[in-house]
Amino acid sequence: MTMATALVSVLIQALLVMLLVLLSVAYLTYLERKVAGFIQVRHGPRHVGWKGLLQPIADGIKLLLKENLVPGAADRAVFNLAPMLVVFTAMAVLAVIPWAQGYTVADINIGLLYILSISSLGVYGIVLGGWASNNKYALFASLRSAAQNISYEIPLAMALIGAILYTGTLSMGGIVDAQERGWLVFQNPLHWIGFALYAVAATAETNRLPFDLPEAEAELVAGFHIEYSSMKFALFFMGEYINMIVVSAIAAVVFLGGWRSPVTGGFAGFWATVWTLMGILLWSAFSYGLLRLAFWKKRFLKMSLALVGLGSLLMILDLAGWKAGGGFGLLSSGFWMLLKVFLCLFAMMWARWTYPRYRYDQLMNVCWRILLPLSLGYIMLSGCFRFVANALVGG
Amino acid sequence: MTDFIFNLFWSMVLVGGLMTVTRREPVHSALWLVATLFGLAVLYLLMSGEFLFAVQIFVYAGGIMVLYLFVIFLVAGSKEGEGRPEPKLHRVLGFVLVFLFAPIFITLLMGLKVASEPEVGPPPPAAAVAAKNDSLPEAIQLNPALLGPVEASGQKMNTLVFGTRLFSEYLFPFELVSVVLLVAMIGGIALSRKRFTSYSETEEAKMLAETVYRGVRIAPPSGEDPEQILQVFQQENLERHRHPGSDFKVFPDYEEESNDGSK
Repeated sequence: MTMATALVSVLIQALLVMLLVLLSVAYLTYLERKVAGFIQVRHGPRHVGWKGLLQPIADGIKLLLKENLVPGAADRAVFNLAPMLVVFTAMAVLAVIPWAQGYTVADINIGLLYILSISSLGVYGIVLGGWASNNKYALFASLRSAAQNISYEIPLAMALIGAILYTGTLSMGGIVDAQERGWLVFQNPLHWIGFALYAVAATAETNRLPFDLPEAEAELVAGFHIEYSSMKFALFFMGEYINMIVVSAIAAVVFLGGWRSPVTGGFAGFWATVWTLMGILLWSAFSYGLLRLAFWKKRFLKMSLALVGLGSLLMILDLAGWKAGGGFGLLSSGFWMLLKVFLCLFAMMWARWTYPRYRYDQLMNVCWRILLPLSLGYIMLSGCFRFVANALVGG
Repeated sequence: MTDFIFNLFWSMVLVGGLMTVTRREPVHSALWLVATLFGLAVLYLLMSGEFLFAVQIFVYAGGIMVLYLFVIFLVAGSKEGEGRPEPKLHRVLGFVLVFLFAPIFITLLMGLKVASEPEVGPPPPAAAVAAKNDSLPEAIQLNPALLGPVEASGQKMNTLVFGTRLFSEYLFPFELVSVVLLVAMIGGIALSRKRFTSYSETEEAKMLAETVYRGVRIAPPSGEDPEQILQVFQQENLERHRHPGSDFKVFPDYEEESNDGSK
């Protein structure tokens, strides 16, 4: 393949991923409102289109047609730059995520580091947006956001380092390959700590409740985007939802086996058998819980039945050794990856509509006094296990 | 293509650096510095230093510069144009220093380039890692099974080589540097920490304790009227201990206003 065709092919793939993610961002707002409705015993959007499915489109059109206000005393250049930075950094990270087996735009060998470094630039959007608005609430939000993001980046990176010690590579594809015998959380209960640390830190990094101090409505009115209107306001939200997708995808790839099904190891060897049985147990528990809920509420009965049925079918096929062309196939791998991402997203929404917001000193205490020592311990233990395993296996 | 990207980013570094020192608004300066650091990171990437690229952005652009901004927000309240006018002497001195030091720097850089040329080459292949493994104790050898996919796809193992050398050959300097950083951090904390005596050790607290113990009031220090002070004290106490909901009305003036009829 020549340089030009390679470039065009990469561009097409990147555009496709971007379009799909933008579409899912629109429907994540719909999902968020539906989940909120379900948790608060009300309906959520249901008037625009069938079951309110056209609501995100209507919202988008409304935001596009709104007047674009810039405060007189704002720093115009920085004010306009900030929302772009938020979306740009969130989008750039999408390139290295394996959405299904072999479906990555660019599987670079520093994948995870690339994600960490580029998404660490995302905080500039919030910090600068708040500063450039020339509004005291927005400035407070900027200060909070800067401190919060820098603090929570540390346990986030540390949780991932502990996992990397096990997988032995930074490439996202390589991390999934290293979990061939079973997901990371099955391989060693130690990684449950890592997963929990990552989940808390990632929620804080995406500024989601209970860590949404930068936009605390009750104290700062709307925080950093108080002065933003129209599409620029929407860009902040798009950035937030893309970031949610990104952190969910990282959680799925690093801790939950990426596009692998729960029974990916089969019965080859003792530990692989144990991990496979754990996977079956997990899937059964999930199916049971979902079906209990669905038969109770009846609202999403068909959807849940289809999900459990398809998942069980794919799992049985996987156990029976069906690996089309030496791989899992687009259907199976894509199904598992997207299901994991969706469940992580759902958990974040669930947490948002369940827990109240932290106070600022509590936020910092949680990070520096609980998460940081825990993550250091996690790295040390993970390293010890790696050392022993290496010594036993013999390099 | 690579040349084009290279030219683009070294010009970004230069322009960013110039803008950093010429902007009056501190936040703009910091932003241009971020652009410079990003450009530098891409230059590292073009020299196959992927690990340095990621760490440069993560640590400098994403961490340290955010802290810079934090400090600027806290201390610099002035808007553009209100900044302190710089004395002419500083500008002149700046130019003189630049022209003095530029040749020295260029010479140094050229010297460095000549000295480092024999070492520049492709990153060591898989065989080199295997050779490296032979020299390491068995327990900390790199697991070839885990490296398999990376090797198979022909990717460079920059991070791997970097990490291995850093934690074996260059372990001592690495630890030394981290100790230096630790010392700086402890020093910073020690300097910024206020030396305060605890409240229980102050004169005021001792007097209060004595008062509580004996059940008598001490005469006020200056020539104020003791009775007035007592009244104020009682009033304060009354307000502090009053039940919060005793005379609380949700809409205190609603009835009066609606009966008034004037509005």
